This record gives sequence, structure tokens and C-alpha cells, in this order.
Amino acid sequence: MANILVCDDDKEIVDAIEIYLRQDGYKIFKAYDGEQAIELLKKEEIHLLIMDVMMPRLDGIRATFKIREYSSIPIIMLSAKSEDTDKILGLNIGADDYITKPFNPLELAARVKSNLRRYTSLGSLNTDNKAIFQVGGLVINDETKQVTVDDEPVKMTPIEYNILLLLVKNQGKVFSIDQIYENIWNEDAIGVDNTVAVHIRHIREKIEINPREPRYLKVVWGVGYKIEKQ
Amino acid sequence: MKKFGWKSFGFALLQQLAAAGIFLAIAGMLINSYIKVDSIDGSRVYKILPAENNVEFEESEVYQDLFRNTVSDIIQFVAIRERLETDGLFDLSKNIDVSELVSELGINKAKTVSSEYQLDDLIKWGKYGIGYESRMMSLSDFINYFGYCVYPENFKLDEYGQVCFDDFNHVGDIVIREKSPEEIKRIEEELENSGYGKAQLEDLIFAYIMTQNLDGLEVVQENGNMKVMISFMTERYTNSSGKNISESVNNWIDYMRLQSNLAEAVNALTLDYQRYIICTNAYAENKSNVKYFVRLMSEDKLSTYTNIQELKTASDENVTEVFSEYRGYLIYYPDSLVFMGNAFLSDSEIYEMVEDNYYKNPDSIHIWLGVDGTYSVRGDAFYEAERLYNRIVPGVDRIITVIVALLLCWIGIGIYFTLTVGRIVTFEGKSSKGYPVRIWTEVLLVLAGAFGYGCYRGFLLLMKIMESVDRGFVQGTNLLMSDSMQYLAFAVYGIYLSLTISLIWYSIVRRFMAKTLWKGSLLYRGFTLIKKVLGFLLNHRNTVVSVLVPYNLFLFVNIAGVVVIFRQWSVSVAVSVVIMIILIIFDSVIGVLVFRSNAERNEILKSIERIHDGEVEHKIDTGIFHGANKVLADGVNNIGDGIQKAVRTSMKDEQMKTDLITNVSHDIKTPLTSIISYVDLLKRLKIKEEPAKSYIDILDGKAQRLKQLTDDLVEVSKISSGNIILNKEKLNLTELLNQGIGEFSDKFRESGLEVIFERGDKPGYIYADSRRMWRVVENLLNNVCKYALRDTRVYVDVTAENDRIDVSIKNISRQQMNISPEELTERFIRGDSARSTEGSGLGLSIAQSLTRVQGGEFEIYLDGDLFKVTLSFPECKKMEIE
Repeated sequence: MANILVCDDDKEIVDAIEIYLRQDGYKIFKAYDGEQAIELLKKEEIHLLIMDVMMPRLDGIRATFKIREYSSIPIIMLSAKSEDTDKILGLNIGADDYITKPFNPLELAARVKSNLRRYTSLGSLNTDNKAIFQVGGLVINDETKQVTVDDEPVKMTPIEYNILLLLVKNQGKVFSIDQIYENIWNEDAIGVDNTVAVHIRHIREKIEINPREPRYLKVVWGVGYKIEKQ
Repeated sequence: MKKFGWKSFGFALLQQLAAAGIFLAIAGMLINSYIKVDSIDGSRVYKILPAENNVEFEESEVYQDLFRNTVSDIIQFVAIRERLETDGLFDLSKNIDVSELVSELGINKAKTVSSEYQLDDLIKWGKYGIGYESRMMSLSDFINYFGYCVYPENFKLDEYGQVCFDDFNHVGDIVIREKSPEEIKRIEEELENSGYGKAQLEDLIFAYIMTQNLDGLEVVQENGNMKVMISFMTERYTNSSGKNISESVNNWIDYMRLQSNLAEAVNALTLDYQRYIICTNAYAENKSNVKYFVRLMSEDKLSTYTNIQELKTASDENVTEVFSEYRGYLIYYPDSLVFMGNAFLSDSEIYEMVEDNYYKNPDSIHIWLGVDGTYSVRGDAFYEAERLYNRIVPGVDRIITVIVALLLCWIGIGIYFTLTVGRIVTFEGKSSKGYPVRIWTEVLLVLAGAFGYGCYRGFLLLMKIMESVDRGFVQGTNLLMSDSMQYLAFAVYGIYLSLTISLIWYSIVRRFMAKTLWKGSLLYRGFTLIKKVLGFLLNHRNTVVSVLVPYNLFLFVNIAGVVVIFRQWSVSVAVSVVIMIILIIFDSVIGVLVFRSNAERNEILKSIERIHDGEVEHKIDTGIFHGANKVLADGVNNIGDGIQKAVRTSMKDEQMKTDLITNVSHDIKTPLTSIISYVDLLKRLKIKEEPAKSYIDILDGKAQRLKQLTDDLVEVSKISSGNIILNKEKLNLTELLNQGIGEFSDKFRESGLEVIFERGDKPGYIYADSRRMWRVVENLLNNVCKYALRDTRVYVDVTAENDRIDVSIKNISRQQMNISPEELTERFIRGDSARSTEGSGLGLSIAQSLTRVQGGEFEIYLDGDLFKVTLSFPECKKMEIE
């Protein structure tokens, strides 16, 4: 399995992450500041790096900056800084994902898995098949009517499936509730209640790691919904 | 207050009515105080003064006057009776010597021929009137009219031996006085010696006649000749001996005198006769309340004149006894100096009356006069006067009582108002408790003066009315106004006077009570102004020294300079010019200095303006300034520095506060991460035994809450410090709510809530940051899920009205809300006092802050258990291209 380097100045957090990820079968290396992490990266074969931002000696931002000079391994930033600007900064200097503390262990595990999959099996999918649609780790096979997220099959109702398929087929396009209703139900949307919104929520809960911060099915508040083009 | 107002109003009305009543009573008293008495001399009007109200009729002026007139009448009447009567009866055949009569009456006392005429003839003559006829005569005819008169008997020699006219001693055949033959001889000799002709002697006689100043003789010139014009009385009657005047005399002097006496006698007797008729009627027995009894010596015998026949022969003592019984009486014997009576006449007055009536023997007169106090005879002057008097006088008494009562009432109400003036409703319209007195005291005084003048004019008008009433009674002229109008005028004047007095008095009292009598005066204002000016000057002594003194010095120098130039001009033009030039230079220098100073001050003002407008780093270049302005500029720079420092510090402080909260929250989050992670790990151990499992659950819940709390805290601090960036765009609030309700559908179901979403007809577009807007809606819906009563409905309404999009969310609260809407949005406060439940208590606060920061309105209404939140945004009408 993959080797993961966890770097945080708080030893207990590193230990907790180790416990979670070891359960999923990863091999964990531990570092407690940026310099240690860089040294370990040089010594060991590391597939993914989870790094705190605020650390003594060398902080996560600078460490990421240095690592990106020679390595393209997925880096997930784990920080107590939850501001948009912090996230943007982290992602801009080369981090692949950004998780704020305190984190949900399941979300962390899912993101680790997702990033590793992207890193190891990117582009391995055969996209010639017209019936297969892919957005990141989300794959829809229209022939088998199967939906997988990071290779995990997801069970869906027909309406949910149809909504997701509509959005995936038109990646990046925002659909309003009425438009979705008219497309799926083939009826005029007059006085439509929040059925569509409820379905969307259910879809998100099924395909997203953290439905509150969706990666695929995004809510454009006050306008509608869309699948982000990736 | 209202009740009190009516009461006061009633009292005020009563007071004015009382005033009107007083004046009405006065008017009634004045207008009805006239007594008109008809007497034999015509009507007389008497005015009863209120002061006489206690005087009996017999003591009153009316009575006195009547009595006096009566006495006068009787004395005159008796004198006439004496003249016209014989033995107490009117005697038309009585012979009257006209010359004697005229002499007695004091008309003509010159000695003349007497001639007796019958009374009957004389009175008739008087009735028909006396006529005259003029005749012309030549001088000679005139002189010899009564017969040839140039006899020596008629001449005499004066002390110088000259011949002059003596008297008509020998006219025609009549020789009145014979002179001694020697005397006649002497005169004849003298006449011969002197060579007087007949004509000359006639001239002498004529000249003598003319010197006697006889009426009815006139000399006229006709064709150069002297003629005499004589007025001859038309002789209607002859005297008792049947003779004409010319038959009774023998010369012109006697003729003219007798003629004149006859005319006078006729006139006098005519008047006497008229009077006699009137008085006989007026003072007849039983026709008058006046009783008289007069005894006097007439023609050497005692005559009695009275209207009490039964007493006619009574002795003086008896008569006195009878007369002293009368209510008003008078007894007068001048010969024995007796004067009795209760009348107000003095004996000298009576003496004068007697004197005026030419009694033959005035000293022998005895007069008794009385007025019957029972006034048993109706219709005479006393009876009428008494009746009117006694009708008016008690009335006056009653009216005065009424006036006094009304006056007391008026004063009583006045005192009541004075005492309660702090609370009464006055004529100035408002309750005056604490009522600011705005009119200056002087203005009030002027007003008072104006009203006072009005009172004076009103008084004059009333006087005029009374005068017209007076004249109306006395002379019968028209009244100024009708009777009712007079009363109305009095009543109106009473109200006006009362109002004026009230107005002024209450104002003064109120001022006095409010202590504004002095403070509210113009004098006080002026006084305080002067005090202020003096205080100001004293406080700015330095300025006085630095500005006023130089300014005055400058003025002085200029004026002095101009004066010197004018005075020197005539002496030395050169010196004047030099002084003028010096003065101009001096003024120019000062002008430049003043200009510079002002320019510098303007510069400083501009700089202050710039600093005021936020350019705190602005500095004034102090190098170019002088004197006080330099100090000022330095001061402004220092203040600018201070402000700059303060602004910087304040900005830094704000930043530090936000940073502090952010950093603290980061520092909290790091250990919190460990706590959450290890709690999670503990949970994964699947510990089944209680209470360890429930302890872990509690730890989990509290850790999650702490996480939420720190997040919210950071958010709140950012919003309140304005540290957020908004990405505003056009969004459909209806859609957003729809999405939100969809998102929360599971939570609503869990809480057993049914959402009724009323979305309106058209999309509600607003211009806002969609993520922030979602946060607002999320917080509100979260709030509903947490605090709404189970199994109730939640109403969400969107309406678009008046270019605004309004959203309202209503639910029934699970717990009683004993809290105000304001407190709900205050940080860390929630609708229930149980703060141990989930959430940070910042949800509503954040929603409100975010709404307001995006230009919306956020309101919370609490009505019992109904909880309602409304959002209101301006509608976005801009067409936006996606």
C-alpha cells in the first residue's frame, strides 16, 4: 500500500492520523516540522504528504514550496487556518487539498484515498466509451446505470441518477431548479416545491466526502446547481 | 385638568357678569336719578346724587329749591296783590297813578306830573300793545305847541347876570308860578339890554328842552331849516279824569315824561297781571300744599294776604302757632327781628326778595309760609317732587346694596384667581403652570397702558352718555343713544374694565409667582447683555489689549493726523503735505500687516479644513507665518499629529483585536483537533459499558460545540470589524430559499416541522453575496430547527412590493420567550435561558450583521410564542448577463 508522511508539530494529532490511516492499510511516516518532512521525503518513498501549516522551524507553506521544486506527490494541507485566503494560498503554492482543523477522520481518509487515486491511476480510464462520463473521481456508466466515486459504487434512485447524469453531461453549466424539473419530469415547472433541492441534497450526501463542502455537485446559491468541470 | 378648566371658566364668566352687573346698576342709578318738576316758572330738573340716598325729601336740595322758589313767588305775589287789589279783591276800577307806580317800581324816579289811570284801561292797553306816531314840527311850532311861552316869567338871571331859561312858569294863558314884579322887571330890562329877539329866546327854551334827554324827541335838518321830530303815543285811553296826556301837561318836558311813565306802567302792570293770574291759580286755597299768610301796612291800614281764609282775622300768635305745625315753614317779621322756620333760607335772602318787589312798606311786612307735610293736595310741584323723590331714593339704596354685593363677588373671584393663578386657565389660553412667560414685562406694561387708555376713552364715552342724558332731561334734546344702548354700553364697559384689570393683574401675579417679573423684562435683557459684553471683554483682556487698544490708537492717529493737516494747511502747506505722506505710509504699513495676518489665517483655516476632511497627515509650512499666526499654525500641526497618532492607534487596535481573536481561535483549534480526534478514536473502540459510553458522547457533543463556537466567534469579529469582502451579484432569493429549504428538508422532518413556502409570483432578485446570503438563510433555518415546537408549521413567505423583496419566516417557539427582540440578536444570547444546548448563540447575530452589511433590513418580532424574522432587500432590476 501507499506510504503517507504525516507532518504536524502536535504529536497527538500525528498519532491520531496514524491510527486512522493505518486502519485503511497505509504505511505512515511521521515528521514534526517542515525540515524533518523534507528529510524524510528524500530518504523514503512517500506517496502522499499530510502537512500542517503552522509549524516551528519550517512552516507548511514554505516546506510545500520547497518540495514542489522537485516532487509532485499529492500534498494535503491540514490547518487550523480556515479562512478562504489561507485555503487559496495553500492551494496556489502547490497543495492538492486543504482540510481545516478540527477535521472529520472519515473525510480525511476519503480525501487521502481520492488524492492517491488521482496520483496513481490518473488517465487510466478508457474514455472512448460514449456511455461513460467522468468528473474527477466520479464516474457514471450510463449503460450499466452505475455510479462510482473513487471506485466505490454508489446506490442511487432513478430520479437522483437522472439529475446527476443531466448535470454531468453538461459539466460547468448551472441548472436552475425549474430547468432540472422540466428536464427530468418533462413537465412545466409551475409552483414547483423543493423536491429538486431535496434530491440534490441526497445526491450530494451519496457522492461527496463532505456534503457541506462538495467537490462535484456544487450549489450556486440563489441560482441553481452545477457539476464543476475538472 | 379638563374639569378644572371648566370650573375656572365658570368663575371667570361669573366675574365678568358681576362686572357687567355693577356697571348696569351704576347706569340704572345714574340714568334714573332725575326728577322733573313742573312749577309756575316752567319745568325744572333735579338730579339725585347717590350721596343723598339717606336724606329725607324735606332735607333734600329739591325741596330746598322748591321752597325757595315758593318763598320768592309768594313775596312777589303778595306785592302784586297789593298793587292790583283793593281790600283783598282784584279791583279793575282801581285808579293808579302811573308816575307814582313807576317811581315805586324804581323805573323812573324823576319828578313829573302825576296822572291816574284806571287799572282796567292799563291792562287792556298792555294787551293791545302801545303804538307810536311820529310828527314833524318847525322849531317855533314846537316851542309854542302848548301856547306862547316867551314870557319874562319863564326866564331868570344866572350868577353872572346873564339871561337863561328858568322853567315853564307861564305857558299860553296858564301862569303856574308868578314871579315878583321886581324880578320880572329886572329880567325885562336885561332882555332889552341884551337885545335878544323872540327867536333867540325860543332857541334858549329849545336848548333847555334838549338838555333834559327826553325819549322820543329828535332834531332833524330839512332844507336847511331845523325841525323837531316827536314820537306821540297813540292814546287808546284817557286817564280817569278823561284827559289826554297833552291836556294833563303844559310843556314838552312833562309831556314826554308822562308818556314814558305811562308806557312803563302799562308794561309793568301787564306783567304783574299775568303773574297775578298764574299765582292766584297756583297758590289758591286747597289747590296747593303751600300755605302763606302775609300781613303788611298798606295805605295806612293793615292788610292780610293769605290762602287760608279762616285765619284771615287771626292774631299773629295764632297764625304762628298754625304755621309752625307745618313740615316746612318760615316766619319772618323784619320789624321785630323775628325769623323762624326750618327752611334753609336766611333772613337776608328774604329781605332781598322783599326789597326786589318794591313793597310800599317793606318794614311792616309779616310773612308766614308753610308747606303741608302730608302733601294732601295732589298735582302741585311739592306733591310731584315728593312722589318722584320717594320713588327714586329707596331704589338708590337698594342699587347701592346690589353694587356692593357684586363688587364683593368680583373681588372674591379675583382673590381666588390670584391665589390659584399658578393653575388657572387664563385668557392667554394655556395652563400657566410652568408656562413660559414670553412677553417682555415692558411690552406687558405698554399693553396695560393701551388697555388703560381704552378704559379712559370708555370712561369719556360714558361721561358723554350721561351728559346727553342730563341734557335730555334739562333741555329736552335728543339722547346720544337709545335707552337700551346706554345700558349695553355700560355693561360692555364693565366687562372691558374687568377683563383689563384681570388680564394685567393676573399677568403680573403670574410673573411675580414665576419670578419672571424682573427676568422677563426688556430691562433685564439689556442688563444681562451689558453684563455679558463686559464679562466677555474681561475674559478677553489680552484681546482687548492686543486688538482694541491698537485699533483705537490707529483711529486716534488718523483722526489726529487729519485734524493737524486741516489746521496746518493755512499755516504751512509743506508741513501738511509731509504729515499727509507720513500718515499714508503709516496706514499702508498697517493695511499690509492686516492683509498679511488675514491671508495667513485663511491658510490655517484651509489646513484645518483639510485635516477635518480626513487628511490627517497634512502639515502647515510654518516658516512663512508671523507672530500669533505662527503659534496658531504650530498648534494646528500639533493637533494634526495627535489626530494622526490617534487614528493610527485606533486602526492598529482594531486590527489587533481581529488578529487576536483569529489567532486565539487557531490556538484553540489545534488542541481541539486532538480532542475531537481522540474522542472519535474512543468512540471507535465501541465501548459498550455505561457510563463510559455516555461520557464519551458528552465529550463528543461539547467538542463539536466548541468547534462551532470558535468558528462563529471569528466570523462575528470579522463582520463587526468590517473585515469581510463581499462578492455581490444578482441572485434569486426565492430560489435560494427553495434550495435552503431543500437542504434542510431532512432536519425539518427530524424536528417534525412542516414548511409552508409561499414564494410569490415572480422571482425575487436581489443584489447580494450569495454565500453570505446562504449563511443568513442557513442560520435562520437552523434556528427554526432548533427552537420551533415539534409538529407545527413553519411559514416562509417571499413578497415583492414597492421595489423591495421581503422574506418572512414564522414559527412557534418551543419554549417561552421572556426576552426582547433586541437581546435575541445580541451575541451569546438565545431565546431560552438554557445555554447548554447546541449552538453558539451567535446565529441570529451573524444573520443580522450579514444582512445589514449587504444593505438589507433584519427585524425580529415576538408575539407570545410566535417568532417572526423578516428580511427586506431592495429589488435588483438590473438585467445581468450570466
